[in-house]
Amino acid sequence: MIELVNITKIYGQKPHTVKALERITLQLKPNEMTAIMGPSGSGKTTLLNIIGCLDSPTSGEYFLDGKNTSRLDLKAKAQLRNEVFGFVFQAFNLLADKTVLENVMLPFRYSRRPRREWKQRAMTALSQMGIADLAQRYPDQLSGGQQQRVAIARALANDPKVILADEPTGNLDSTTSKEIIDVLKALAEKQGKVVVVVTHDGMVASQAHRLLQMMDGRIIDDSQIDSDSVVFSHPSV
Amino acid sequence: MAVKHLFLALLSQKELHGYELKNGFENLAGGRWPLNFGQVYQTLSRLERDGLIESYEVAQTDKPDKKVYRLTKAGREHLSEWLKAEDNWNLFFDELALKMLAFELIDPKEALEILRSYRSLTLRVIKSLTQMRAQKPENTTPALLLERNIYRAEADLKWVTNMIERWQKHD
Repeated sequence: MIELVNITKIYGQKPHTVKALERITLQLKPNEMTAIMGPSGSGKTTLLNIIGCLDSPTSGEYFLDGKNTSRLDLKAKAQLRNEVFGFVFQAFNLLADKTVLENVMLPFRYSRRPRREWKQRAMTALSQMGIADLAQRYPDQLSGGQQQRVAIARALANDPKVILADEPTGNLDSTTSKEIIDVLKALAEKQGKVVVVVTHDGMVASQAHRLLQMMDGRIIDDSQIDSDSVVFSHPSV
Repeated sequence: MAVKHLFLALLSQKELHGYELKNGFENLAGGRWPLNFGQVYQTLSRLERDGLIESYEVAQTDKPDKKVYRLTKAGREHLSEWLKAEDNWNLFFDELALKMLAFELIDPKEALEILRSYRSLTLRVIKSLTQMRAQKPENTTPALLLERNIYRAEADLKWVTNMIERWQKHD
C-alpha cells in the first residue's frame, strides 16, 4: 500500500544542512497500526509528513498503491492528500467558531463531493466516533477526549485509506489516551485502514501492532508487538 | 513470606479453614499465583508453631473433622508490624539486573541485543497489562496492582530506550 524506498530528507542549504531522514525504507500495510517512537529531533514528524505528502523527500522514491508520488505536481499532490490521508494532531486543531458538524464537514470544501452528501457523511463519521449527539456544540464546550474524537471524525470524513496521527494523546490523561488509541486501532482492525501514530507514550505505543524506533533520522528498530507471548511470574514462596 | 502475611490478613477478617485460605489467597492474587496444599499446610503449621494463629477441630458428619484457624493477639500485632514496616529496596529484583552484572564480561553487541529484546518485552508487557487492566473493575485492588505494574514497565521502557540510544552512540 505505502512503500518508501531510500527516502532522505535534508533541510537547509549547504554548508548549513540538517539531515532529518536518512535512507528510510519502509512498507505500511492496511489493517495495521504502526507506532513511531524516538527522541525529539529523531525524524518522527518529518517521516509522518512525508508519508502524508505534506513534505517532499530530498531523494528516494515514494510509492502509493504502486504509483510513484515523486513525479506528481503540487496540485495532484494536494488532491492525493485530501483523498487518501486523514490527519490527527496533538492540539486537535478544531476551528473554535465552527460547530462540531461544521468542523467535520470542512475537508469536503476541498473535495469533489456534492454538497448534498456533506451533512450525512459528516454525521456518519461522528456516529462512528460515538459523538453524534455533540454535532451542534462548539469545541470549547467539549472535553479533550471529545475534541480528539471530533478531530478523528474529521480525518475520517473523506473516507481516507490512511490515518496519520502526530502525538494524538499528548494533551490527554491516561484513561482518555487509552480510549483514543483504541478508537484508532479499531480503524485499522475493523476498517482496514493504514494507521500511523507518532507518540512519546509507552502505553500508547504498546497498543500498536508494530513499532518503529527512530534515532538520528534512521529507523533503528522495527518490530511486531505480540502480547500473547508474555509470561508473568510470581515470587517464590 | 508473602503467603504467611496474607494468610494473617485473611484471618484478621474471620476464622477460616485451610481450603478457604488457599482460595482466599488465590483470589487476592487474581488467579496468577496458585498454591499447592503442601505449601498451605506447611505455612499454617509454622504460623501455629510461632503462636501467630491457633486452631480447633469442628466435628462433621459424613466427612472428617475440619480444622479451623483463627488469629491470635500476637498474630494481629505481627500483621500490623508487617504492614507498617518500611520495605527494603531489592537492587537485584529481576533477571535483567543479574544479566547487567554480566555485561562487562560479554561482547557489547550481545549486551545491546539483550537490551533490545528487553525493550520488546516491556512493550509487550505494557500491552498485555493494559488489556488485563481494562477488564478489572475501576479502583479495585487487582486494577491498582496492574496499574502499578504498567507504570513500572513504562519507566523501564524509558530507561532501556535511553540505554540503547547511549549504547549505539558508543559504537
